[in-house]
Amino acid sequence: MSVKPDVIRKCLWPACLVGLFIKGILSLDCNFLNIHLSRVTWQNLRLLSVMSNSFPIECLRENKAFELPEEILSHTQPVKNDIKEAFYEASVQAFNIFSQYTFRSAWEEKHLKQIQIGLGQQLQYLEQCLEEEEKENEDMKEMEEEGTKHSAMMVPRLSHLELRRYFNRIDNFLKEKKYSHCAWEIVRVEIRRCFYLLLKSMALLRRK
Amino acid sequence: MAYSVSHPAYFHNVHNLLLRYLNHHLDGGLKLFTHKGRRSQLRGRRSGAHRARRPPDSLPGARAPPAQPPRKQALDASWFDSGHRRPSRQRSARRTRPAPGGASSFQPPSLPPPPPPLFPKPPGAAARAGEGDAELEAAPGATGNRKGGGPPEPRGLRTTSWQSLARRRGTEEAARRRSAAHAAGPTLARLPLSARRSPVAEDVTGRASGGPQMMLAVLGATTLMLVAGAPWVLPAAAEGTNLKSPQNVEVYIVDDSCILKWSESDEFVSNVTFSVDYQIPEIDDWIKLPGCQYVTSTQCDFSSLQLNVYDEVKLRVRAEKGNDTSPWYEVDSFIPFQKAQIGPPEVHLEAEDRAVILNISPPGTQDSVMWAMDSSSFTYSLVIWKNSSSGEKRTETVYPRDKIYKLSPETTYCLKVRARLHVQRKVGLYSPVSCINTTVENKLPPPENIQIDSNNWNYIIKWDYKYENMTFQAQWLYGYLKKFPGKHEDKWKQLPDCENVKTTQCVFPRSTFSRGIYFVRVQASNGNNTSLWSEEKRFDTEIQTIILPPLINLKSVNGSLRVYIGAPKESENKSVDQPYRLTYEINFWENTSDTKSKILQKKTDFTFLNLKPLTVYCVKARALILEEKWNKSSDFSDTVCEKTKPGNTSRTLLIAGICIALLILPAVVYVVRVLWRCINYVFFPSSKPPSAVDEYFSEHLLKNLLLSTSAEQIERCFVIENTNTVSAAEETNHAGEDYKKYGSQTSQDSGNYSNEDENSGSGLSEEVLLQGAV
Repeated sequence: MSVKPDVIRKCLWPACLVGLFIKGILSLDCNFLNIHLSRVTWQNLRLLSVMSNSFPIECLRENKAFELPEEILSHTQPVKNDIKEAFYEASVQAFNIFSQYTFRSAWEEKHLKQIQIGLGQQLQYLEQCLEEEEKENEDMKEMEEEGTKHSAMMVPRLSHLELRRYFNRIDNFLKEKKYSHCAWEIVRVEIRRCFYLLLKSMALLRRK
Repeated sequence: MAYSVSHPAYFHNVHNLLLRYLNHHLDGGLKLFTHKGRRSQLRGRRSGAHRARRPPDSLPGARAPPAQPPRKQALDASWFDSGHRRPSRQRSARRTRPAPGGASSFQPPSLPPPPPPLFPKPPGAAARAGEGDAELEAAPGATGNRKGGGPPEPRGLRTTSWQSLARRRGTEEAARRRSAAHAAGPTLARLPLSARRSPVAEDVTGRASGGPQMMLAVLGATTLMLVAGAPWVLPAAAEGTNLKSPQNVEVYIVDDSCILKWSESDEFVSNVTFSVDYQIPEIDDWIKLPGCQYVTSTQCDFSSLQLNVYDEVKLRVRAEKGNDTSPWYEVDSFIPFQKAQIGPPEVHLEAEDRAVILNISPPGTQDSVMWAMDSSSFTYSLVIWKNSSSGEKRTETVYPRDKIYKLSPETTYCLKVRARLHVQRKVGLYSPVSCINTTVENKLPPPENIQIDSNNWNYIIKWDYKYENMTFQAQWLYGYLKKFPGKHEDKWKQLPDCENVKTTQCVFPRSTFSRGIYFVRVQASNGNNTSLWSEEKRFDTEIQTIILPPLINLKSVNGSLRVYIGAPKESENKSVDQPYRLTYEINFWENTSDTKSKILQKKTDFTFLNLKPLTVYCVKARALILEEKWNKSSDFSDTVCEKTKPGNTSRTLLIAGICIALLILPAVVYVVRVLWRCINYVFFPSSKPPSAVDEYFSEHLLKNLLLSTSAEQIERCFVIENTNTVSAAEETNHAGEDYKKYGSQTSQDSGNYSNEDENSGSGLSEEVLLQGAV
């Protein structure tokens, strides 16, 4: 209590530095997160099945082929991170979809909350993991101050664009059908399928 | 009216001159005939529309007798007039038309002085040829060239000839004419302008009577024309009549504003306007971009098109001046989303004493089309520094609504933020720098150093606080809400068990939170004043998870112990699912002894073998998670003891053994008896042999057999002499017995029956004996 303010000020900046950095990095290792990540993702998958009692048969008429891009699921990924990033993208989009306009669906509120929480968790882990890996990569490369140019490393892959178009189709479908219950059911099944295929591919890759 | 070498009119002009030269030197046998025929054709067609014909009358003086000029003039004039009517239908030709007066001035009444040099071209001829060219090229000129740059002119003219001919009325005559020309003039038909040259060719070949001189001349003409035409293929360098397409064409997309920028190719040309077209995949045609037609600025905004940002789009731009147009410059097809640059986000700041509250709005507008699917996917990174002296910059990743802590009060801080999309590898532009002053230090500081622990049943939040006698309250928030921009101040909820607690800790049951990520914050108050909220502590139920100790079931089975490890049950009798792969550590010892053995294994069903019977063993276990870098263990379960059974198995064995023994014993006895009998029978017989055998054996044989010693046979021998002298007479009495008589010497000898030897001493005696015996 009797510390001089000057001393406090001197120590403050290093303390801030340390504090802020610790907060930023969050000190959770990617390998460690993988355990939780796999658990959470399979949980979410189960949730996606459980949240609806059964697929209403009358909605079969409105079913639409969204054409999930198959090349993402190939096992011959040159970079292992590709499929992880694809999974991150899918998670982000699923999170966006389930956060909007869900009031028209006939699902229970608690299930909706659970899926939102679950997807948020999944996102959080994936983000941390990918950020960490990127930080390792960027230690070697120079950080760009102005984001005006794309560096050679930062070339977006075409497969992510295909995935985007896929989710865009899902989005448009929901909008067209005005977020009806049938539309939500179809979308739920589709997203569950997408997650399942991605998870399976990731598991197969991990074994290699 | 000067034409450059590469002008198409030049070629035609050369051709004309050559032909004129040839005609001049050849016999004109068929001249009149062909000329007449041509003229009749022309007359027939005069009423019809203009077409791309080269009336042979255009070769002035070639065939026309001097008597014809007025008519020819009329014809030519009409032809020219009809041609001149065309510009209203066609787009502006690339070249300006020659002056009307040119036509009439075109025709010199007579042949030029022989022989005219092939290359210099009289301007009149050129002009005449030129306008014909211009007509022909007018129609497809605008549409024939899709790519920018100087179009190859033969191609244009070729299309011109086919397309324009087809379009104009009376195409059949042209086709007829062309086919005739082709039949007649193979050498000249090779040239790209064969269609147009056909009348001329027809003339030439018609006129030719097949002389070798003619052929030579034709060949020479061909080569000359080819050579002359070569420079024609080069792009035209017009003197101010050709526009170049715009240069440095670039697409700039930032958020929703899509702009195409270019620069003029030639700054010296004024009054140039530009037009832009676009094309999308489903539609094959180019569509005019509204708002970018004939504009004078060198940029065009095409954001209003409502394109699908994930689909390809193509653009093209060209310059125009008056009636001239440059060729189109086509931009490579691109996907707007890929080219898009993330713009600067909007930042609102609010100051506290030791923290700054951030409120970041995502780049673009709220109903942005480009980032419609990304509104909550942006990750923001912030750079903050003190405005004063040292100004060390620090970078941090922040949420859209976040707080920056550990600042000093009453200081100016400046910061800038940029958004990123990780997967697309897009890094946005920085927002403009905004500065803020932190406020005066608050009387009550917020609680610090929040820690969250958990045990089997509860979560415990602990914090530090400087002052005493304060009441605290805690709030929590769903973690995923942080990803959404906008206010969620109202989404914080009270923790019911932590309202107005007096201690610097707070306990609430695990059931408050279902699985997920949450944020927790604490506030202190002392009645009148309340402090500001503490740092928001992130709290993950997964990481805080507690492994409950397992339930153990022991069963002793025949001298071994079987252990069943069961899932733990929560207090509500609901079984908890433990999705992690658990390893169990089982401690196992004899009740009396102290030594414990530990076993690690994953199976939940386990047997201890080879135990001592009738002893009490005890077991306790705990569950562990042995993943990389994460060791978590539960408490030990209750100790369960069990006594092993007294070797049930040995007793049964014994009983079995006895039974078997009982069964086997008589058999054994029987066998033993048989054997004994056998032995007795063999070695100790009880029966006697028969009497006769007995007699026989008893004295002699047995004795002899069993006890015989081969003693020497004792002979009944009579001792004949007692002295050495032998008397022959006394010996004859004993003839019955064939006993040999021995000499005295022989009786002393046992077994020596040889006579001769013994008879040496007593020869006489033996003879006597022998005589006596015989």
